[in-house]
Amino acid sequence: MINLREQVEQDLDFTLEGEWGLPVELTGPDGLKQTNPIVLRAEDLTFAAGDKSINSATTDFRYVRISSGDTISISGTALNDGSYTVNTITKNKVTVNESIVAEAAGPLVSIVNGSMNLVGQIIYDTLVDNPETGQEIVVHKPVVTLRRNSLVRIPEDGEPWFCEIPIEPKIDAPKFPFIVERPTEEGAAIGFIRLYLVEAAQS
Amino acid sequence: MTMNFRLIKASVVNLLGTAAAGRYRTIGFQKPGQGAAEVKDNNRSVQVYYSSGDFPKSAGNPSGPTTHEITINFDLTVSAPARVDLSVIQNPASTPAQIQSALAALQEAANLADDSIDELADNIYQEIMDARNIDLGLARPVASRWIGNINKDDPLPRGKLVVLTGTMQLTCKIDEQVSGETPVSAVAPAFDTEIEVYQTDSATADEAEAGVLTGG
Repeated sequence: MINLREQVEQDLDFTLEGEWGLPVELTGPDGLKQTNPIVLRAEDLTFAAGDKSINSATTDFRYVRISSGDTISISGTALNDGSYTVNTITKNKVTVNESIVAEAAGPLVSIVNGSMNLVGQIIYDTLVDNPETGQEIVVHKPVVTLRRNSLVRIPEDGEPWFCEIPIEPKIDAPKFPFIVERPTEEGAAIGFIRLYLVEAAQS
Repeated sequence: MTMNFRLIKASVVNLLGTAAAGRYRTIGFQKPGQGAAEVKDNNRSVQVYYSSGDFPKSAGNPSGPTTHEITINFDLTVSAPARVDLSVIQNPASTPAQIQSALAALQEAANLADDSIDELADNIYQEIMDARNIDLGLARPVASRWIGNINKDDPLPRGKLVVLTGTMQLTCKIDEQVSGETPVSAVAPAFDTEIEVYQTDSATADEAEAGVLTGG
């Protein structure tokens, strides 16, 4: 039985990344862009060459956000880093179309689902206090909340991060560029990070 | 007759408006608030308004000109987005190293807003304190023209832009003539002379028209 904290984190599938989710593209200070989410981090993944499978004794792959036909990207292995196409999914086994090299469980392995967008909750308008009058006012101020476990790299304060979000709350709306300028706000215990954005213009 | 402080304010607004050359917007009154987008980038704004005035008794004359020590405020407002080379970052062909370099050259919005308001204060100060503007654009003597201070407030993350505000104060002295208030023609008041009659069975028409309760 998982504890409440883990349950809350898993529930972010349905809250942050569920129906309210909007696509977010993050570019880190290393110049690497993340557009797809990490859907699994595990230390007990084993790889079997015979049936071209990824196996786990503890992970129920049926609840991992991958589907048959998805393109997944595996990193952190000794021999099997790369992109694969998912074939079948059962409780403790995922088979892929490409060849796999037999490998025992090792360090932390991450799986990114290249067929899904990195999504998060975007609040476009925020209620703030006007310091001149003390009144509460609504300002157009996008705030993005993302699941930490979905990120390849977690933004740190002071780092230059670039973020593109839809200009309006529609999945297919054109994206607009922003910079993460204010320190982030995060609740590591419940698994999210909140980014405050400032408009970015061409220098 | 218009008091001279009003002429001075109008003249200062005119001076700044003429000198702005698109670098900022001059507003000749105190607005209750401004949106960040109103003053984004080169639409920096300066609000000019008469803030306060003193009439020192020792420098006055009950039957002649009086010295008016004027304080005119300049409220400066700028806002800025962050600046980054989007042509590199948004180009799918860019390498991570190129994007890394572009991000490293990022100019933060707060930094740009700070530079912008410094430049605006510079422009205002130079224009007002220019020796050629010793009379603030009026064809009459203006004494003790002086910008005594510049204050900058903390940057506000207002909306998706960073907003920075500041204040400059101009003080000067000018004489005021007391010519008496210009009379205005009185407007004839329109009185409602209709009388509501709520008792119509009175003995006489006069009583009914006067609205007096009668009988009963």
